[in-house]
Amino acid sequence: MIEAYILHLLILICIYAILAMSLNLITGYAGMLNLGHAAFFAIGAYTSTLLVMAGFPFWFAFLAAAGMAALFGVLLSIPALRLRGDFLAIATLGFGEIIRSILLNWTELTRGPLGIPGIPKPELFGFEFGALHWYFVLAFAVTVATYFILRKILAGNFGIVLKAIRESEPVSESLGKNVKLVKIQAFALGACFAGLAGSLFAHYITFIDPSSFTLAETILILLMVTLGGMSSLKGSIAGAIILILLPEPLRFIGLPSAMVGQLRQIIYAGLLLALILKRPKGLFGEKWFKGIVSEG
Amino acid sequence: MMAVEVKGVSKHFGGVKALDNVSFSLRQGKTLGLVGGNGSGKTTLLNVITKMVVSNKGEVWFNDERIDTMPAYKIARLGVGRIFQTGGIFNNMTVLENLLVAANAEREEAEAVLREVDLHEKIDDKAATLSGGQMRLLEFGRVMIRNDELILLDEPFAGVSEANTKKIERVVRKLQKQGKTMILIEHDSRRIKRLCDKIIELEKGKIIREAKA
Repeated sequence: MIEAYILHLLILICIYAILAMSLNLITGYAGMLNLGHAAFFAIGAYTSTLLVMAGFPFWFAFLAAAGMAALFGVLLSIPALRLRGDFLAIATLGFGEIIRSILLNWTELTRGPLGIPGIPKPELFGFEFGALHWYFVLAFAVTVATYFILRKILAGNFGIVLKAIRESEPVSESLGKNVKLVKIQAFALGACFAGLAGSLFAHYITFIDPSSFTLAETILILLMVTLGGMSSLKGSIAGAIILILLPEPLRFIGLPSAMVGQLRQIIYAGLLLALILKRPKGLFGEKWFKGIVSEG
Repeated sequence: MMAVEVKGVSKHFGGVKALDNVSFSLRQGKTLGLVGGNGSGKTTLLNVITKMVVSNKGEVWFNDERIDTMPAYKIARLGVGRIFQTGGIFNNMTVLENLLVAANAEREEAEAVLREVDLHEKIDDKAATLSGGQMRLLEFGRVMIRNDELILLDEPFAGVSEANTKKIERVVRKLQKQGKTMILIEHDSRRIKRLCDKIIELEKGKIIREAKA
């Protein structure tokens, strides 16, 4: 029993670590505040679910989830990238809400608020990841792969260009960088991995409905990124671990369940305040310089 | 061959005429000094050439190709480089990364360029820890590693220590020897005479004087 509980937490940590790393790519590395990340998570979850329920193999649905989320990443970024900073954040927030209300109202496809129950456990080449520990192995493998792929991409030229754009778009353009294209790529890549996380989530929980993909979900992921530190993949993983585990003790102190949820929100808010006051750059974040140091 | 041709360029911000029917041309390998008081339109002219500002009228040509219709990054890719008055450096990136943004180069190549601007010992330092003059030198390193043909310099000597001023002047001369075309905004008339082949003076967005240096 306790084993199952621990494995459950570990699987959630994996899923959220992928989400946090993918959001970190968009918000931390590329500097675009994205408040619609849960939408990519949702698109991945629904795409994978609907395809598997329609008889497609899991590996296909899993990759399609990534592809569909990436496609929506591109679709969102084309209009949204005319905006910057707070305005971009509002546009992405709107995008998140649009996707959620489509899922809620397109009942022929998604069953709307009733959600989709009975999602099968994934099966890869005849092997079923039904047992909890096998599911953890799958989720862990995807998390590790995500970490190494993103690390490889971000350590290369693409990562350097992202950092440059975050600091100054005009200077990046003056060095021959197609800023718009790079931002679209960043959105697509981040969305793609969020889609993978969505697929893992759907086939693990075996039930999805639009209420799993609200703004609060995005805020939680964003908090993981902020806590771990902007532009640090390790930080995002640490953020996911801390924020998944932190509210767990509440389950054991015998509070009425109605209070637990609200207490969680208080803990998150308190943590965020402490972070701003004590360690604004996050646990693993880099020191941030602003302005010019005087002539010496 | 004319490297740069500016034909009848005008730019107004609201009612203010920042550039008023400006035309000039510059031969390849020559250096143009741009002088004039504050707000005379010098920086706006550089902004129009690099398309950081879109002009209201006129054309800009570079190596017999019209560039004012292109996006900024494409102009940069043709070999138009720029040293900014301020904020041209990515503070939170290392000196090496600042060069690698400009060109997809190997570390060795970057190190060789940094040696020329005397920053090779700082290669892995954060750019924010450099002095103002060193930052300018790093920007020169960037146009060198990109091998830009046309280099636009916006007051590269302003607020720079004497030692670094000498280094910058040496780098400018070296680039001139390599046949680079340059447009230099500068207030020191003696330095203009030393470095430039031609001078244009702007006042309220108009060319009021064009002369050999």
